[in-house]
Amino acid sequence: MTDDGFIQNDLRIRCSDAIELVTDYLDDALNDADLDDFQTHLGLCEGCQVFLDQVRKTVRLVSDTADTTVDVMPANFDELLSALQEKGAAEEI
Amino acid sequence: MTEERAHTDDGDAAVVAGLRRGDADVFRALVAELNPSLVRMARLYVPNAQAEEVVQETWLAVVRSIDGFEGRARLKTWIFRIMLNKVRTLAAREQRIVPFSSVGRATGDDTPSVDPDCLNHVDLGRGYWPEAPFRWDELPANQLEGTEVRLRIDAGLQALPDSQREVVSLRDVEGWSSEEVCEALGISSVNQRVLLHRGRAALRGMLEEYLHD
Ligand SMILES: [Zn+2]
Repeated sequence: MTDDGFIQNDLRIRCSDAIELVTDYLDDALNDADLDDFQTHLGLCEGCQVFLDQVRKTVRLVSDTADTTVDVMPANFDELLSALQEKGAAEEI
Repeated sequence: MTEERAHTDDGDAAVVAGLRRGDADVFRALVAELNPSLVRMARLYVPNAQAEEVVQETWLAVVRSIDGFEGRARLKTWIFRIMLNKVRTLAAREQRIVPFSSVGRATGDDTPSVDPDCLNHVDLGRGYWPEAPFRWDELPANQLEGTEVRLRIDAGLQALPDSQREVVSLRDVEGWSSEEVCEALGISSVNQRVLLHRGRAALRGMLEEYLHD
């Protein structure tokens, strides 16, 4: 995990490493060893707990920006439906 | 089931059968489910009016080629890819985006998610938070959920490299699963997560900076 061999503290990994694991963690995509390191680090590191919370919050705020005023149906829906039905009818002959 | 349907759910088979026999209710339900998402995604590449045209053409292409749908991908991602091909071609013609070939470019970089200069603990040294980041995420809702923050996030999304913006939009705006996004964009799951992580981290950094004062 580290280029200097061994981290001389209980954090297991550096914050800079933990930060890069956050999205994989949220997607349940970490392998067992990385998950163990990440969770151990997180349990001891307030900075990384806050970072994780903030990524979660960012995701929620981004999802809130979806433009819900978009038309549900395209303006040419009737034409599309006719095209679909003509084709369906043609195939049944 | 004798046919191989590794990537499709059973619902797809019923919908495809409905489309092939020209069932209006099935078609209406499918369009209502996917049209807003297709329009929002098309708008990432071209202006709104053109985005709606591209999506209309996409539905026409779906009607014309549904007989050729082989079920190797989910119906939803198959339709999305038709739209994506059309809109990228249109956007490239108008030179609104970088050529398709460089779309994966941003994945190779090693830009850290947090500026290394901000990670320097007095005892532990470089790579560690000196103190926990400012808790902008606990600001009251009226500061976090107003129009101003929305506009900032929109601008932040626009500022991301195309490949990151596509993934963040599909995952976090449209709420698609990572499998669906990989299939729709034709990228690996590792690539997908790298792009998502870079994009989210950039947006977090932007929000931190904006909300700090
Ligand atoms: Zn940490």
